[in-house]
Amino acid sequence: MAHLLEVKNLRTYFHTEAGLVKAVDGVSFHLDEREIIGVVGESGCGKSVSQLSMLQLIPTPPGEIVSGEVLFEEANLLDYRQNSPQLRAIRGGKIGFIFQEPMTSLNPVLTVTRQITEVLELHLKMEKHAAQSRALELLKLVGIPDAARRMNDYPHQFSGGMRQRVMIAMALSCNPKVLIADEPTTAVDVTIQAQLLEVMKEMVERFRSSLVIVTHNLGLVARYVQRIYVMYAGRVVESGTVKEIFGDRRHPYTIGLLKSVPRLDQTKSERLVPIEGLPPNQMNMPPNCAFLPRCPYRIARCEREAWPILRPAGGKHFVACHVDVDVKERARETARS
Amino acid sequence: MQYYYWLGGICRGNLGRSLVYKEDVSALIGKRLPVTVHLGLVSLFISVSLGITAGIVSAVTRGSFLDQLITLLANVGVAIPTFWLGIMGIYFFGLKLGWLPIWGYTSPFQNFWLSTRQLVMPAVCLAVVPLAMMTRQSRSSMLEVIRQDYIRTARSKGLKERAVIMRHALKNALILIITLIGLQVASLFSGSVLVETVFNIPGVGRLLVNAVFSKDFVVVQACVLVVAALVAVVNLATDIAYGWLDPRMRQG
Repeated sequence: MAHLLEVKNLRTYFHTEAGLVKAVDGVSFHLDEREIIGVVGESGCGKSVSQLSMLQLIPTPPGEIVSGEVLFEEANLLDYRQNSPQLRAIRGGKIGFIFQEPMTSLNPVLTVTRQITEVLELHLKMEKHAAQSRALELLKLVGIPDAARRMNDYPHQFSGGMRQRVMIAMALSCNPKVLIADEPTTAVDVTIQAQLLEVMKEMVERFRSSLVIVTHNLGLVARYVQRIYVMYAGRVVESGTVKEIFGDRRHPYTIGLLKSVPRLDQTKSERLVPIEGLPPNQMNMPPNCAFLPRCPYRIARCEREAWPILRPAGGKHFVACHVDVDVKERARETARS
Repeated sequence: MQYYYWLGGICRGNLGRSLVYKEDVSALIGKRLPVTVHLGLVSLFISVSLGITAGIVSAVTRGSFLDQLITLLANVGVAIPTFWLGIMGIYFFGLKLGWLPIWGYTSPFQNFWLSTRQLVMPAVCLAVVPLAMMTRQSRSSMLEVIRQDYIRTARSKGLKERAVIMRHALKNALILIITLIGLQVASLFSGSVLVETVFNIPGVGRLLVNAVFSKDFVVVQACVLVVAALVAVVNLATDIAYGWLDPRMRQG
């Protein structure tokens, strides 16, 4: 079956004064109808850029989409010019975006309703009045209390969580097939994070959309997503279902990532284990594995050979590593206990 | 003590008597102020409308030939001395080509056509420096705003570039630009001193210059006071404009 959205071998480079940065370097992923996936990785690993590149929303220059395909509804979105009518019809109409900072991502000088109605007027050709009542409906749906009274308020009059709800309402206003949430919960505190994820999940179910959650918090999204892509230094290093990633993680980076997140079932005496070292400087990257300098499982082969490509590890599970970490990990665990 | 008499007089609307003209200063200024305001408003209109337009065009087409040309012209414009421009204008358009009258002022209510023809050159000369500054400020404000997250959001909604710029970017950029408009009005007054002298226009600027040369301190004092008051009013107007443009400034 064809996927709803499929990205193949996407490469996005940034030409900076200091040199070429390969922010996204050969990323492939797909999204099926009514599926929720997570794209996980640390800051600067290219997870956001890969999403923005799909709709050509990165600034060019300095950015450049070097190669790749974004297949959506039998078309390659990268064939369209940056601000072509075809691409604009998809932005906001078929694929909606929720951004990280609800404070800076909403226009401070337009009322929240206006920011929703303009999308409705544009894509659904709604009249001003119809758009306004639809906007009110959407604001109620995402749980803005007293929405009727607040619909003419400006973004600064809302709290962070409420602003993000406005963002969600806006992104969903035209009933898009795909919703991309780029770190939707990073800027709000923990209690709100869960609420927002609930709202998003509820909304995509109601609207029969698919959802991509981009985040650095693997634990947070585990409850909501079906599949996970783990990214490191511009590439996908491991992908699979939640069960595969959590139960049978193979890539040293994924293992490190999960160790560094606190868990409720952990005893107090257990300490969080940070991943040693720093994220790689993505300029002049060596041809071999980018995680190598930080990897506790490295073997001689990692030094010699190029960065491995994703290889199947059973089921929907794929991993890009020379080492069969699974075995070693178990050995270590037993040695420790 | 004299100063208190003067202050007391002002409170009663009496600015004193000119030492040279033997006339009430309020009457002297009353006759000349509309001239300066007319000149200033036309200049302000030219510099603001053209400046913002050029600045936006320049910012939107950043890095293009057009942008480079506008930036170059703006940089030259800031550096040009107003009086030199006035003299050159008189020489070419007035004397060589004979297109425009070289001096004088007529009220637009008396003879609109003549008034406009007389005003074109002085107004343009007076507008050049503020226009150039306006262009540079608009360009940098616009570039600043275009980088913001909400512009990316606007693009992600599928809006046309035109709507992104006009609806989402311009109003935010204007908040930054309006500050400069306030400052420009103050500099227009100082510019009008030069332009009125070069083009022999009977406005407050020339009154001030003549008063200074004839040591007519009563008139100098009064002129300075009036100009200061006007600048204060303009600043108030820009503050009000902030509230109108930026909902964050409105506090109920």
